[in-house]
Amino acid sequence: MKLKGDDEMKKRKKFNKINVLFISMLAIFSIIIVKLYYIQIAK
Amino acid sequence: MKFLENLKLNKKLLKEVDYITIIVVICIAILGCVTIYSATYKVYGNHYFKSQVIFLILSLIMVYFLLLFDYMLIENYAVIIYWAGVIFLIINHFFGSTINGAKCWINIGGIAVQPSEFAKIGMIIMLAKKIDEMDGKINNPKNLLQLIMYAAIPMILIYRQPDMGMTMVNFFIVLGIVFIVGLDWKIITAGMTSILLLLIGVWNSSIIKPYQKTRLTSFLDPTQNTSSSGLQLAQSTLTVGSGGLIGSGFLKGVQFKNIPENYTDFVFAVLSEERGLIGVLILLLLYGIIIYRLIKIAKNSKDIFGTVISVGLVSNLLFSIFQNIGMNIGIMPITGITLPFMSYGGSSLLTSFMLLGIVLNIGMRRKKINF
Repeated sequence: MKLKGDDEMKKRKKFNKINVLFISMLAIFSIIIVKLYYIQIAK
Repeated sequence: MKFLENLKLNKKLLKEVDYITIIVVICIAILGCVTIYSATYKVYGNHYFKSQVIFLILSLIMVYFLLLFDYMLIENYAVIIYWAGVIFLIINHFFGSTINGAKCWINIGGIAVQPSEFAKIGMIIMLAKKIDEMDGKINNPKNLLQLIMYAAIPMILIYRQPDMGMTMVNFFIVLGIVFIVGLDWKIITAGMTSILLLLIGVWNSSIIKPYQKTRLTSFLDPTQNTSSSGLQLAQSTLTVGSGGLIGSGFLKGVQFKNIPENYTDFVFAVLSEERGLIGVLILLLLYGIIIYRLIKIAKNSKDIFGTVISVGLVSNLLFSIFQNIGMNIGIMPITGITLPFMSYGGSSLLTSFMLLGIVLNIGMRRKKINF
């Protein structure tokens, strides 16, 4: 079991890609909202 | 008495529970129950509503139990949990019931259970354990091969059912995990290219059945496709569109009655018709809050095991939401994936809450020492 401590910075660097998940969520929700606007309001 | 004491959460730990996530998830689940009632009450009375509420209560009890012990204990049992899931899938292969051409369900005491949902949890826990043991070094060929093997066993068994939707969910969970842990871009590109070539080969062979091909392609032009999936997609898009800005109102939807499975895979269409764009935006906001908070837990976890499990749940939610809402609004093929915490289905609800319970536990014990 590796705990945060001396290698905390190393781990943070290793997992800094986690923000990509947030960006993916924004992208997915944007696509859904645009399509919903098109079929519920604009059409 | 000692047993009862063990069932109590330490006060200091109680303060660390992410109540916002719990409240938001319960809101989504209640919205799901209400929508299921609206979709089914005229034909089935309150049967589906009652069943979903019972599973919701059971799920919340399960979350409480999962918060009682340190999540690091799960790591010790990862091998058992993983292989239990695989054995469950094998049992399903021989004794499962075939519904809509796929053997995805097994009847246990009169309740239909979906083994692939439980195998998914086993796979995430096992990958987390292995990556933790490897100290995150997954670019080592031996380590990578080991991870691929553990991911492939349940995925092949699920594909054989055949359940394309769940296979895709598992694939994106694995992809999300290995990407975040830091798999080399060259390996990801090579892997994706190989999978693409394999898919082209499989598509042109007889492995994929004609009904599966129709399901996968009908979303491109549902109005031109007269198959059941094409009609389902066209009806679903029409239902979502009929909601307009504010929707027709609770129990006032009519269009959704034309969609089969409107209380499971197409529950989103029912919600869209009755609550309109505003209702749907509120639902997306609630999902957004959960995902944001789960990402935060993944970032702040005290170990790699916790981070990987949290990332697994986030990837699962992201892909399931995109796939389910996508097929409801005509931008994704129909694959029979439920909308997390919303769609009718005990297995789906219970396993989603189980994973959430484990991640809340990870968030609760993010500090190294809790006195």
